[in-house]
Amino acid sequence: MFPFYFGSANKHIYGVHHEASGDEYRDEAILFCCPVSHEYMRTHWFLKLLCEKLSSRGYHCLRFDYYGTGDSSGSFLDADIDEWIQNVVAASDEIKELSGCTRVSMIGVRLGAMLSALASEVVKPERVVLWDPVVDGQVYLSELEMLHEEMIQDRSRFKHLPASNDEEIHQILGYQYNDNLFNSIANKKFGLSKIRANQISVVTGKNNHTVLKNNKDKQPVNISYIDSNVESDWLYLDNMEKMFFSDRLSDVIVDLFIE
Amino acid sequence: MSEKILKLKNNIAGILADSGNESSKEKPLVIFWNAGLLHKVGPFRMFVDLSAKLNQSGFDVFRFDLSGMGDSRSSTTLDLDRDRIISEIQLVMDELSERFGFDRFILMGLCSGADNAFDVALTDDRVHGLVLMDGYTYKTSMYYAYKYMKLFLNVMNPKKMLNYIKKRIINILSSDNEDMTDIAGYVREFPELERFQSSVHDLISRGVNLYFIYSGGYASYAYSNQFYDFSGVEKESKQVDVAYFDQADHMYIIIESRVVLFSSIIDWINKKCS
Repeated sequence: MFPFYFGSANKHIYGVHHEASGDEYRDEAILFCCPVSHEYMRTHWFLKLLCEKLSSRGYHCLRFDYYGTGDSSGSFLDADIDEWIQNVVAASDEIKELSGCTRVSMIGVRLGAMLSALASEVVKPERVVLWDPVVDGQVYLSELEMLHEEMIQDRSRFKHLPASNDEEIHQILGYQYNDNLFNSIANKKFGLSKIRANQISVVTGKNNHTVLKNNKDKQPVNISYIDSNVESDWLYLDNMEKMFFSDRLSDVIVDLFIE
Repeated sequence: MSEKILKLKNNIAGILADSGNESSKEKPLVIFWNAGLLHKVGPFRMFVDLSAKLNQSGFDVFRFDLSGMGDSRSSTTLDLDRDRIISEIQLVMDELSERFGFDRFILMGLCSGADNAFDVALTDDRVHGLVLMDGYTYKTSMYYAYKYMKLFLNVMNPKKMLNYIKKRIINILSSDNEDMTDIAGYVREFPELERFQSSVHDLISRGVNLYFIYSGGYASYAYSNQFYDFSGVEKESKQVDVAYFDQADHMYIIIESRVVLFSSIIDWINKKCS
């Protein structure tokens, strides 16, 4: 496990390279596209362990933080979704160079799944694994805002309830979104037909594939839907700050790579 | 201001946020680390943003993950327990002293991170200051008075009472003592009150500056003077400061409460630790 910076000197991106180990050589590296905001915090531990599992089976893996998030430079207030997509592309180049692999696959989680799908036109990954992908940016933000409103009414959390959000300021679950970021997420939609990958796997909990299966986009022939039977409860207030962990989900994802 | 990744002994990885201020090496280095499974970025990126604010005040900051946690690899030399945590934090201070010449440190922690910071300070003379957010606390008779008054008010409001009963049942079923588990689910162990009192006394005698910060979301802390009531520290103490941010939750999720927290920490550190 090797933390490093990449990107430009004034906008450095923090990444962690998990070097491949094990007996098998694989000409395929895996890029992890994490979620943002509170979901980043919830999944950090799980994604690290997943990287360790996959790297022990011969895959070079790279986790990284988008600009203005995690340990990367910049403030969340300056964040921009198009820049995050560029970060995905840069990270893909980086892991290819670090590992010497000619092929890259991506594992994207929630908004990270949408970013990996949007970046796939440039990255052209071998496979894309989308775990509980955000399909519609507008719906995603509305759900987060509803969770935020529920959270600020929670008397077990606050002795004095905070005021509701000022509509001009997008304060959602611990982060302030600038207008540009808020509007650009709201305008992003996940287009199945635009994903450029040889294999697409959509992993969701408790058979929750309805949104994507009913997507008006033509279903790609290379797509598979996997029911992990694991409820991630992204919108459940009591789990908001609990670390996500599931051996079962980890096995489901590892099995997609170890045939 | 600039940040660089440091790889230290024992597989520890962290980030040194350099203020770029030439006199910063004469000031104590501020150190944060992961709180349980919550890695060095902190809740809602709190430790990254606070690092930047401290840099603006001329303090260098090092944030890191204990070995095996966050972005640090597992250690093969030490076991995962309180002694290991103390040893690792001391190893970090040793190496930062050797490499950069820091000889005084301010340890900051939230929740179980605050407990670790307090424990390290007891065994290491290089600790010059402590900022402890929702660290050790003890219930007093006044605490119970507040708690039962709240319960009484809940009885007067059926909706609140229903919520209260629901939460109690969930807590009983999950055997979950709200403040004895940290934000990542680790069980916290508090020292006996007498031991805590004598430890605070020892730290004061050694000249350590202490800032105890409690939030309104910390269920075991109910009123602003509770610290003075359980600790035996006099309010006039020049080395001990206490803040109670009753508007904030335990994780400072509301940005306005984080702004208040940051500004209070910066004021304190400038006043007490420059």
